[in-house]
Amino acid sequence: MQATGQRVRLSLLTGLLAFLVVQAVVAVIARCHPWVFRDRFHGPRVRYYHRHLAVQPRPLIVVQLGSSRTGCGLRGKVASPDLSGRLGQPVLLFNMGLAGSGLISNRVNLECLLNDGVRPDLLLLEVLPPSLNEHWCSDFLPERFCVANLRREELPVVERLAVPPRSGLYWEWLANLSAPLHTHRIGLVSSFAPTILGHNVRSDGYDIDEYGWQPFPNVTPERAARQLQIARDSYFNYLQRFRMSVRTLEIMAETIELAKSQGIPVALVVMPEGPTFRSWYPPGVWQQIEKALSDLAKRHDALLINMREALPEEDFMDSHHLLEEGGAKFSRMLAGRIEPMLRQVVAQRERNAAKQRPGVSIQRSAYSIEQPAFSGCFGGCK
Amino acid sequence: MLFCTTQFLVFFTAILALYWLLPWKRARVWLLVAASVYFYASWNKWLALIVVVSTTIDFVLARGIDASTSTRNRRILLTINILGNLGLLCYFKYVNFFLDSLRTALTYAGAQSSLPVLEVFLPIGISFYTFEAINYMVDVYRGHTKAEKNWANFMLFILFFPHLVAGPIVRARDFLPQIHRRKRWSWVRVQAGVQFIIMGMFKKMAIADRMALYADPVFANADWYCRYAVWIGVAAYAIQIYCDFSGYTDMAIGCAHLLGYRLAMNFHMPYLATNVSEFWRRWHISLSSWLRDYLFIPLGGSRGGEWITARNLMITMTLGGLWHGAAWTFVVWGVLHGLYLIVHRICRALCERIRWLDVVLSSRPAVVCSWAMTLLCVLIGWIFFRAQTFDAAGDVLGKMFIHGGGARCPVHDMGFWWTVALLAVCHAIGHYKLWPEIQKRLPAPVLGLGYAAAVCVALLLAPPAGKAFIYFQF
Repeated sequence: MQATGQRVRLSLLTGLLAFLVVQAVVAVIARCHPWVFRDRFHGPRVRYYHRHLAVQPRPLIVVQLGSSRTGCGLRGKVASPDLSGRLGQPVLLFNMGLAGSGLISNRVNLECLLNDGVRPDLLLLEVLPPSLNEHWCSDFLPERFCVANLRREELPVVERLAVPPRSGLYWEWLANLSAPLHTHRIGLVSSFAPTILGHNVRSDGYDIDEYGWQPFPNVTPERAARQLQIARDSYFNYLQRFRMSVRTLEIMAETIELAKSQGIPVALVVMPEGPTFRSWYPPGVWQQIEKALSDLAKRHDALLINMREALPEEDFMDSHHLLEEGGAKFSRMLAGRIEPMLRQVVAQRERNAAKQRPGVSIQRSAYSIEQPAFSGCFGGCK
Repeated sequence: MLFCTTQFLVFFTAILALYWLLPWKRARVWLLVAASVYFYASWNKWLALIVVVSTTIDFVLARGIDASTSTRNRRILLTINILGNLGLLCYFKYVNFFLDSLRTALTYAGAQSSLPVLEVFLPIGISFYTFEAINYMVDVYRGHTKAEKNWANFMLFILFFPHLVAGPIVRARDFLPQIHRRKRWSWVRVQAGVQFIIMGMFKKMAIADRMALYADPVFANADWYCRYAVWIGVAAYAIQIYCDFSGYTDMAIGCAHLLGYRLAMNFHMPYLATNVSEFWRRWHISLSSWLRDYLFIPLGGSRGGEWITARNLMITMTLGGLWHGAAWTFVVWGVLHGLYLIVHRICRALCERIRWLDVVLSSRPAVVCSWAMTLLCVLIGWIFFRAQTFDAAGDVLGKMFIHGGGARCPVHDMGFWWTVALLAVCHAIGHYKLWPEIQKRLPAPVLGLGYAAAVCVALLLAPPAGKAFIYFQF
């Protein structure tokens, strides 16, 4: 009996120790490669982004942060070679369009990207006009900002901005920390056996290309009609009772200032919308939005690129998500619009490099582009 | 509080530590009663009050039966108790079902109805503890057990938190004596408890919740999927419900072991059954034995000839189906199993009369065919059990046997086949009783690593959103 008791104690103790060791190993992996455990839109994109950075020489990096409009619209693979050719150096036009995002979650997403080591030379911030509505509240998907996907320093931002308000995130985060294997299981299984997970769960980036583009698969006329109805159900009523949200504008300003504090110039991009979608705006609403964006861009030294009316209806699946060909057209047009800004970035970089030649000491400013950065472009480049 | 949550882990660890630190038997009983009330109240405080009050009334009525010498008075008290418990069950679980059925019937008959729709919250575990209360009262009435004199002991028997919300349905004569026995810490018991908990966790998180990924989309829209995907979905549901329910039971048994209590086994590899009667001796054993002892036998059992036996079987299984849920699909499931049992009785009677038939059907190929037939019958029954409506059940059956084309499995089918292979190996180990030998031969550290591996795999394979236990809704 004593021997049995000793055997049992030994087996239980070994089991407990082995379990704790596994948990510790997973916790260390999560700390070293946190983007593996981000959600399935964010994590794979950051992984691809870092793969691009490993290639020498380091390209000029442009990242567009936005929603699924950006996700299925911006085709870096199409536009990057064009831009590289025109500028005479490698350019990476990278898509960080995270489905379900809006202007508020852009703020949190930017924080997460910066923490994941994403430091573009130019940041394009998608503006989703309906999310400027005071009544808009579906920007903040709980599954997107699941505590398990966040770092500790990101919790206060989520707590502050979440709609509906979320409190006690720190304790929830701590509880997740106590079981890292369970907390990060999706990321782990996606890494070595993604096919056992459902398509809408696996985070191995199987449906995202190496430039972050995530097209809608299997678009048939029936699916397109269904999606158009969904878009109408999602947006029409909100647009009919549109009221400008001061809070959202303030959060956008905060997002721009956060990027600038990291030395990253910012441009605001209004993605294309089809004629059908544009017809859902009541009279005067778009003008109101355009003025607010224009004022915001001026105040914060950002460029406003308005491509809302750039493409016809047939380039869209549901009048606001671009099809493959529409995305290619948009990407080329966008490349043309940001080319002047990139030239200024290159010029500034060369000036900074010249100042850093041996024997010359300089005071680095947090914001590496001299003011005014994009003079002559305020009020929107059309 | 679900068993597979951090909240329950903290709760149970605290209770376990406190329990074994308390040297007094009475204090331990009161601790478990308090913990059980807290466990139930974590779902809903008011319903916890209902459980406590109804259990107290059962306690008083049982004392009354035990104390009374008049047969008439004893019968009256028993009737009050049974009607009270069934009334509670019928009100909370079936009132809207009856009203809805009545409304539908009146509509078909061309009559207008303005029957209300009541907002009734289903108390979790009500089907289980009302049956326990009834079986206790009947046993006291029949003299099979003495009425418990101590209120706390009786409360513990009904409310004991490991089995409170989803069984097993415990018999008083099995549980109450354990309360009176002195509990000593036993490492062997601890090992058994831990093994049950790990096994239950693995079945629930790594298997049952994962099989739902195959089954849920198919049952939501069978028309979309091809025949192969629908068969996989139905088989996955059979695995899901088995692993979900037996997984819960295993964790309940494991927790009870750690507290020094022994709960009866509720499952014994039911999918190895070679006939439906054997299936019911292996599946949800506590319910099937309850139905046999407190419904089938009081109705007359098999004593009144073939027709009476068939009637009794049909009533028992139909009510057994209704017990599972307030919907006609559950009733049909029960009726199907009643029919299966009747057909089995007829076949068995034939075999007893025709010797060569018995010999042929006892051969290995025939046993394999019987097993396959039984499995098919059970799978068809599960379709009605799982489907929300008869139309949905019809769609699934149609896709399985008639129409063919459609989309592939919602998730890669390799996961399903690996699960089947794993279950086959585990069933082989169980059937040939190999586990005690394996456990004895394996070095202790290897056994420990096995425990850790099982827990890690269960945590790793748990799907994104954990699902409640299926039998919680009953």
